[in-house]
Amino acid sequence: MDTRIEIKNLSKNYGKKQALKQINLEIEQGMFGLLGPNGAGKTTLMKILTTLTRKTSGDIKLCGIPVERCREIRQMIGYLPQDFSMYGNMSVYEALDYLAVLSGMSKKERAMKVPQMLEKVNLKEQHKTRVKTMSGGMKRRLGIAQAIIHDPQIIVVDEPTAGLDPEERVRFRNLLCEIARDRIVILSTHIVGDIEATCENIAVLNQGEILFRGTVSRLLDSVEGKVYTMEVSVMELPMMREQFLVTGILTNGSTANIKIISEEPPAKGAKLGQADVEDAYMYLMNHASALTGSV
Amino acid sequence: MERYLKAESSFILRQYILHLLLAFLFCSLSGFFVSFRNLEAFQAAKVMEMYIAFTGIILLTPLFMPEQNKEIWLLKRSKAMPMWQLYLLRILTAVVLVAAVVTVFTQIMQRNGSDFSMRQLWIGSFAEILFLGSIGFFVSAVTNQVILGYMISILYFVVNIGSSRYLGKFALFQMMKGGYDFVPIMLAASLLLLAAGVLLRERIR
Amino acid sequence: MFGTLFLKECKQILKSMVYYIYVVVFVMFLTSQLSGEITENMEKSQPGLESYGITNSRDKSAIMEKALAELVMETYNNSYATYPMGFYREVTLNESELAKITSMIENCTGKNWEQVVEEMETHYSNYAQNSVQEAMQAQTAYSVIPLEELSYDDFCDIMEEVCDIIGGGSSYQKNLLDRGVAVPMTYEQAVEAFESLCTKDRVTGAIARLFCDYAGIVLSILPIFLGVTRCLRDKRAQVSQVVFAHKISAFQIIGSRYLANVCMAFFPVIMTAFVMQMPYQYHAKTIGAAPDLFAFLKYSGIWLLPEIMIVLAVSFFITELTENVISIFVQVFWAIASLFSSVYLEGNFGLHLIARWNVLGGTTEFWLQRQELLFNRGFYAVLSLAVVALTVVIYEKKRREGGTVYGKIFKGRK
Repeated sequence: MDTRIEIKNLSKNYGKKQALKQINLEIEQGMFGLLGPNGAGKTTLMKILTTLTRKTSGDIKLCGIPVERCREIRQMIGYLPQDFSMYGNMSVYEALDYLAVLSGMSKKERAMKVPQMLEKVNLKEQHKTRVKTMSGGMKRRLGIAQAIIHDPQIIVVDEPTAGLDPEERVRFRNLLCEIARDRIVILSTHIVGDIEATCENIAVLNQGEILFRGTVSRLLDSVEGKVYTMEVSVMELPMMREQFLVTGILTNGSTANIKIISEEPPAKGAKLGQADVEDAYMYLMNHASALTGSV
Repeated sequence: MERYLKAESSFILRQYILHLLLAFLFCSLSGFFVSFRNLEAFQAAKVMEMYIAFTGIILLTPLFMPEQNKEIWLLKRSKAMPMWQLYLLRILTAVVLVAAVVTVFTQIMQRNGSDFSMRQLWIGSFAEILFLGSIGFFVSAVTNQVILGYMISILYFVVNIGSSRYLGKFALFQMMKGGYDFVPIMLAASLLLLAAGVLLRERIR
Repeated sequence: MFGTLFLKECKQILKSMVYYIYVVVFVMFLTSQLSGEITENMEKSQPGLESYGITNSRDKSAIMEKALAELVMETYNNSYATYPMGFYREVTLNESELAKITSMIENCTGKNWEQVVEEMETHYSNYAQNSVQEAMQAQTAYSVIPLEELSYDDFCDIMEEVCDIIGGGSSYQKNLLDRGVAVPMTYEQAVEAFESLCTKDRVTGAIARLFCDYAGIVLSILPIFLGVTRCLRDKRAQVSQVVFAHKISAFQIIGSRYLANVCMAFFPVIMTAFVMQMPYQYHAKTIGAAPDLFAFLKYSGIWLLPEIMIVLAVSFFITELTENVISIFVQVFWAIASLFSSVYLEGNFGLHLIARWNVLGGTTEFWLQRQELLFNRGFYAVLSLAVVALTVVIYEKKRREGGTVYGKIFKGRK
């Protein structure tokens, strides 16, 4: 059985504005990260994959099934939207049960699966809590529970960690990784740390176009040997910023340790430093804007 | 002063405009349903009480709509300008509009040869329309549900068609029967409902 | 699955404040209207009384007499009821128009206007009009005799001219005149009416009709709020996106919501009807009739259920389409217009949203018009199913396009 998502020449226009331009992507099993600044077209792409928006042109197949066949697609995807919420007067249990019905699960299945899922996302204790009194983190966890309860092959998660505290964020990432063992999880985010910690394969989206696609290590390779650290005085900072792509600043009194990405060694005192995904991402975005001539 | 004007004009343009259009549409359609020509006092009262009265509901009930979303509400409360001032400004706008509507229609009727006491009908209609609207205002203020505001005020109107005898001085349609002594009580009740609406809304939660 | 969703929807409705207001207002309205002791109107008539109420007559001379009487009264008050486009509109005339009408009355009666007015005033002075009932009695007994040589067709021609002066939709149109007029009942007719009340209506039927008449008024408005609340709840709780992404079909979502609302709206109606007709089960037996245990169910099912269905269907449709509260205004307007547009409070159902039968009994007349009522209610039942189907289409469209159909004005907005 085909377990991939194939996207060929996908475009989406909102009136005159092009939200997605000729996207080509192949997504395999496991965690897949979709990275990009706000407004890059991530949410549009996810809405098209989840049948919530129509594409303008191109072909998409999810596990061999074209995206136009809505009912089949909806059966095999689980979707956690960016601003997930439920009816405020329902309890956690009721809300999950309700959404399970919408996925077409029988009473028997639900009676078994709902408590199981609540356990999995750590909401078992709070199953009587009303949705309107839930914290952001609890809502997210309920959201992921409803996305996986019908055992879909594909799970689409939009900005899952926004608004979570660091501890919750780590737990949430681990949960996603666990789920992704035998299916596709597409995760969109503008927070680089999420991707770094969880995804093997990624795509970087900017202004409706794919800037990069491949593994995280390949993305890291692109800045290999270009990351430098050096100490400068605070007075020099504005100048350095103008000249170089500065990805990190740590001030210490009147001096500052800065991290710079540069093709050439920036100055005499600069040492080669350890590159991380954030550096690579910044480098990529900077490159893209240099090419298109915008900020 | 400028910031009040700015806040109010933003409210009118972003939120209130549809309701204004609706009220306008409702008023302009009136010619199809009621006649303004050669009316006697009770007939003129009927036009105001049974038709024009709805403008009160349309204009006064949705004044809390922008803050129905809790996040926006909390955000606005955190700002320097107190919310009650905003509300008061909106009420003022709505009340002026009600007065304008009453003036326009009483004038139309008078110019078409109807025979009634202008002062009496004007103040009576104003009181009644304001009262009906302030019911909607009050309910939507305390429940934070505009729909409930509409529901209660509209049902109040409907219930009055059948069982106004149980409502005493608060009964609608009294001018049609020649009674005008409800005016001060209804005006007072309207003021009370409007004030209580603003106060309770800011106290609750 | 449909059943499960349906039950879950019902449960949701039970948690909403709007529903409890619905129930309370409905019950209060009905009890305040129907609480009076009306059994006294259901006794066998005694001979020799002054009045036996009114009945409808299609006799041509009766029609002429009553139509003239009404015209005299309306001219005297200078207030004419008209129903252009089915809505009530009061018309007043100026001096010259009034003069034309009075001369037409003079032509029909062969008397001059002052004489006609004097006769009218004498007639009414004979009645103490302290209560509505007495006033109605006076009105029923009042008639104006036309000239003997005036034929019905000629009379209708004159009334046609009257219509031209008053304006569209006045009650002197030929098709309305042909429907007959209210005339005082004779003793024989009263006995006959009582007989058919006992045999055809079996008493409970007449009560059920009166119940439906009052309930129909509030039910033209109350369900709007249930519908609007349900459809806006998704928007308010921000759950549309989640619901959209699930497998379930639009038909099942909208269908289960609609059906749940219809059932929950209808449930208090039959309960109230059942409770309110109970005393009459007993009363029927005391006057020797066999009560129909299920009359209340039959009547509310045929009379009120289609009304609830169409009101809810339209509110679902408009609210899903626009995602705002506009439906409330459109539908309240429709309801109030329908309420004021009923020329007769007994029958003449046409395609009115609110079917009126504001009289206890009128059995024979009702059975004559029964077909019209069934057609009216059948029409609305079918129409509401069509509107719900349309709502399903709209819902599925929103689901595929993302955002509201109407929201396209704000295209590209997230």
